[in-house]
Amino acid sequence: MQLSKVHIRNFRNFADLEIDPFPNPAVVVGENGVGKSNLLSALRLVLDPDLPDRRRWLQPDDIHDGGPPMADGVEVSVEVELTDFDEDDDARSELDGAIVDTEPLVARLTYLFRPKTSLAEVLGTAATPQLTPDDYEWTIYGADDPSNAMLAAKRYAALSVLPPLRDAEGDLDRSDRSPLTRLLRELPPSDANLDDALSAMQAARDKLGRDTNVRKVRRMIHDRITEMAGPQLVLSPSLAFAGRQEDLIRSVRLFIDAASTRGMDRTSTGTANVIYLALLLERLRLRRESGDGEDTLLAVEEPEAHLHPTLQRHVFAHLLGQPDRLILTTHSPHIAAVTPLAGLVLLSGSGGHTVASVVPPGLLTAHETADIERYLNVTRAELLFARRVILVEGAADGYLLPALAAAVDFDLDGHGIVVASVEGTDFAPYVRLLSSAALNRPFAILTDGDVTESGQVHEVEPGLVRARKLLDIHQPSANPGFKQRVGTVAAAAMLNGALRAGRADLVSDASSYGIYVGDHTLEVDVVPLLAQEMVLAFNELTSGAVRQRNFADAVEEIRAAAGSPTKEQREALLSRIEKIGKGRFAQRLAAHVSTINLRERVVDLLGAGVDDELAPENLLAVAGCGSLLTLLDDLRREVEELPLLPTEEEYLAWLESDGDHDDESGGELPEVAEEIEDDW
Amino acid sequence: MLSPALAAEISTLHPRQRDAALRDGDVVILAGPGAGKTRTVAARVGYLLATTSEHRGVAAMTYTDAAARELSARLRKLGLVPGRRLASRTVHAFCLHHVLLPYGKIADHPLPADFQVLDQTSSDRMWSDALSGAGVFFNNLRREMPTVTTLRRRAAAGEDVRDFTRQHQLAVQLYEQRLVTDGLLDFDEMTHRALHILRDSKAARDLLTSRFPNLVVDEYQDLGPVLDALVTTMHGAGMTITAVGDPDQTMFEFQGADPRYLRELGPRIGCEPVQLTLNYRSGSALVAAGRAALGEDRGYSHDPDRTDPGVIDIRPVSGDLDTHAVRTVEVVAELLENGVPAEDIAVLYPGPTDLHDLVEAALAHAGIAFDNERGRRVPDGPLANMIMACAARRLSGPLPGRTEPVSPGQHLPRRATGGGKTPPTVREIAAMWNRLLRETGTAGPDDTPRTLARRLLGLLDSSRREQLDDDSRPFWSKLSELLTIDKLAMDSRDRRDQQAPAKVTAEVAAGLTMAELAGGSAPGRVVMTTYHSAKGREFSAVILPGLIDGLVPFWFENRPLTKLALEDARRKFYVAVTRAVDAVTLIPGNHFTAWGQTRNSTWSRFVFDIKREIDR
Repeated sequence: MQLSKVHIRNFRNFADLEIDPFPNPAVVVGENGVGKSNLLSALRLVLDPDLPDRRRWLQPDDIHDGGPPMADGVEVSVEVELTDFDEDDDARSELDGAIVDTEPLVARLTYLFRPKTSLAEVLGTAATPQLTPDDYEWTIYGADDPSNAMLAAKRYAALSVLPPLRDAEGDLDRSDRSPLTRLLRELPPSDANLDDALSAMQAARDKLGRDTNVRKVRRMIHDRITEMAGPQLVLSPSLAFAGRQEDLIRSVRLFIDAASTRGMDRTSTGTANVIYLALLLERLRLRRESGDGEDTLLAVEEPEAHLHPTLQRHVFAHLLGQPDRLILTTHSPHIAAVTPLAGLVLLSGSGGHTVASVVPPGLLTAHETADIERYLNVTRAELLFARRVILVEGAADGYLLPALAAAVDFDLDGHGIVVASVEGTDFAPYVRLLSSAALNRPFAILTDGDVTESGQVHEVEPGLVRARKLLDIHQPSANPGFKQRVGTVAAAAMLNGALRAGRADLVSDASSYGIYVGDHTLEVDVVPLLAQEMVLAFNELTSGAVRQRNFADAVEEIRAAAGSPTKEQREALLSRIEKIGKGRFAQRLAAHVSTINLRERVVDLLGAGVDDELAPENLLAVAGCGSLLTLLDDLRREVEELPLLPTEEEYLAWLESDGDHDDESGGELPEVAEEIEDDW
Repeated sequence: MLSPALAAEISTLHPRQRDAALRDGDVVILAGPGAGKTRTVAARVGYLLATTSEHRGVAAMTYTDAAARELSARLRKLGLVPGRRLASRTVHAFCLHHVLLPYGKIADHPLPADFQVLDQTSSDRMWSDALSGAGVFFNNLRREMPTVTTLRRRAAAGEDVRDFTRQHQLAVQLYEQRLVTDGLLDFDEMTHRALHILRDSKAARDLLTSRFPNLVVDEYQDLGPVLDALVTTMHGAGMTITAVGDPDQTMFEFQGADPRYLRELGPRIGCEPVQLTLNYRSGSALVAAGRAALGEDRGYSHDPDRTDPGVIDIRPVSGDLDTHAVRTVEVVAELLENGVPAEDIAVLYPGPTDLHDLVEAALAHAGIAFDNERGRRVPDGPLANMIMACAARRLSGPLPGRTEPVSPGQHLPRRATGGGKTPPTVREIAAMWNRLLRETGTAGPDDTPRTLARRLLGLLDSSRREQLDDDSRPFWSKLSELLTIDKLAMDSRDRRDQQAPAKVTAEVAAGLTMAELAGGSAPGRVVMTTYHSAKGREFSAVILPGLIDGLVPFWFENRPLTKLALEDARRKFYVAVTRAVDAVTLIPGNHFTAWGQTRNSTWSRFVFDIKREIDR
């Protein structure tokens, strides 16, 4: 049995959250405060048999802020659908009455919290009063009729939530919470063995009891108590150990070495957590296989807690390999990195409430899926946690963009903007992954123009052709004439390195759809802006005066060409950088870039006045790196409501209006602290 | 505060209905035919539950299991799951489970340790013995039963019984002694003991009143003296009484029921009755016919939203009862031709004459399918209920209970026959089975509800699901085997259960359909039943053959018709006429042959009453 759909309305972060299909296993990913725990809290309302019913009477702060408050009357619902139990007689029996589809079987259970109505209101003799939690009712019903109460289904189709930062060691030590004791109850030792052990212990106890000092201690305790409390408190203290079968089972402890000398207190917190989880999984398996057990969906919050990254990956890969129903929440990139794409549930804030995105089956081909999964290694899994993504071709862009932004105090990281390199030019699968059909993440693309002098359309203007293809995927109806116009532009001749007529318009159009096309390659394009830093970086990475002079000459030639470098000039520069490695070079270059005065340089390049405002169309006209700057400008205007290169006046005005231009704060909803009272 | 569904329901009630449902304190609700009685009662119970302390509740007594289930189902629809706060039971089950079992010992009327509930056959045998032992000469027990039943009930209620013969009084004593010595309970005994306990023991009265400060009694007109006394006693103990019924529809006079109990209840407990007068069932012409049939104007009117007046058709015949049968078939054929669903047509016949057989033969000859409801019945009792539940769940499949037709082509019977409507879930059936096993003390360690549910699923959800119309034999044989039904029956202390398998097997062999085994009816069959069994039901068209004075009302030649007997007959005819939604066909005649004699007479006087109304 597994969860196949979740639909939450008006609960905490969720105004109207639908996750359909709900993957299995599911890995819920999202930044802190976005509602990962609240998602589990919502599921507990429907499925957790151990959640006390008083917690199903919601309180005002459980109601989503965006809608009507509790006093005005609001309905909260959590609807789940369960599938994959066609062969499970127990599930079919327990869920009978909740079935909404038969091939395959689908059962729907809904938790509903809604206001009652006063008689005066029915009779129209009084207006609706202000409602309190007492004026509400809740139920859990099957199928689509709220009167079809099915409160007992959760006894079988159960959910258990293992909270984060659990005190594994403490729990293992307390017999009433220890998963070990529970495990032993499922598989108890035989009575004969227990009796043998007990009688052996009895003998040992007697022996111990006859020990002079033990007797002395017992006598001392007795005398002291009698003296303290008088003869009313009749006690006959004895010193012994477990004397009943149940006590014996409870007193069994787990040791971490074969000689049973090192207890749980001698392990690290991380190890204790692993052991705890292992015992729990074993017990759930036993329960599932037993005749009177239940089919528990386990939700583990932040399984990475206290674990070393390598161990995280291993434990997690094991959990994902389980055939069981499983939900994990995490903000560990280590875990996200090994999650199958289809299992990801991405939560993100959007205008004051939380939305979820999953990768629907069939969106990506098997090859694309495999490629992306391989791609999403530990560092790149950041993509999943990002608020916005800039897709770029290579590592060089990854170094340079944040550095340029940093030069004007635009903190990409702080805004959750991730620059992700696709290692090439095949942007298409990533665009599909980030599109509204899947992860629904705002993104921009920065791609090289790779303009060449002669050849077919896709050979002379590959950047524009890429932009055209991405537009077809991303915004199919956006610009119907684009393809034809690319053809027209490409047909024009390119003289002395000057860009083709009409190209600038196409680049401008593409940028309005978030696709930013450069002129040549990044290194060539940034020369006008960063010539001196490039020379510096090159000199730091190389030795030999001739080599360094040649590089400086190549840079200078391109700079002097003012946006129209010839093929030979471009190759002269690139071949020298490629000997070092583009990534390595960019990394070095970035170190110098973050301290330059970017505005001054751009103003110089444009021949503008010191106090001129720089609009996007101005930036686009900057030779070479116009697209790159426009990208950053668009982004900054969107997230900070400030131009990338503000005039002093613009900057001061912005500082004054500080406080109301942080549009992302809507996503930061307080996570309601959950008091976990399950005795694990 | 009210649940949303209950609030919506109350807001759409007619002002009179709402007044009845929301009355503070005692209320007597007099509900004419089609007045939305059941709906009003459900709203009333919902309101009482919502306004009573949530640790105390409502006892709702009904006359049949079906009515008790109907009330629970309606409350569920109103969003109320009152659990132990609501006892919606038949009067007998209420007396047994809420008075005899809990308070018998307190009041010094303990039940025998392993009492058995008597079935009809054994009861008849014991009455024969008692009557013979008392020196009553009789050749037909049926003829004697009304006398002893009424006598026994009046005596139990403490009423004056001096006008009954000494012999009959002795017979009742003998019968009751036998119950005690054999450790047996019959249905009357349950109510009688309950009354004794509640009259004798203040502790029992107080405990019962604490748990159920509200008592709702449906079909009050049919309760008879014992239950009337019981209600009065509990009213005295502080219970709030809601009594619902229609004195004009009293049908159990032969068992001691009397419309005066309900008529006098209001004045006795000091509350003004609420009369529900709007008839939502029938058109204006039919309401007028009902008034004429009753011979009194209770102020009933038709639903103003309904413009079609309905049809009263008098189709006299000049021949004997066989021509009544021919005419009946003619009318049925016309209705079918006009597209009335067969199950929505009822032929209602008066008392025991050949008329029934003649109509049956004529229908069969004309090739019209019918359901005579006489023998084709799943018996009563917990085991039989479980059998019906299994059949209902088998038919429905693993779906939530649907109240709407599954698809436009599939017409579900709309008659309220109880059972077969909302199929129970497998889990619920497993719980019933588990309870039976536990009560008989034969539950094995592995017979948990869960394992039982697994076994049930194997059968109930196996492939090739039967249709409503299908023969129930294959399913019944598999079900009997699965339940090891003979053993289950043998171990039961309820004699109805003991006989259930044999009875069901006989019915199944006689051609019971799956729908009928599920407690419903197979679609596509004209209903044939008595005036008496038509009570509480409704049909699009009702056909009443055999309307000849002497049969309707019944009277012996050369013996005067007493006023009481005439009133009784008139009420039965009134009930029959008021079952119709759209059309009533009256078939009067002027002679009939019965018990070997042909009698010349006239049209039934009731037909003349209606004809006068039409001609006016």
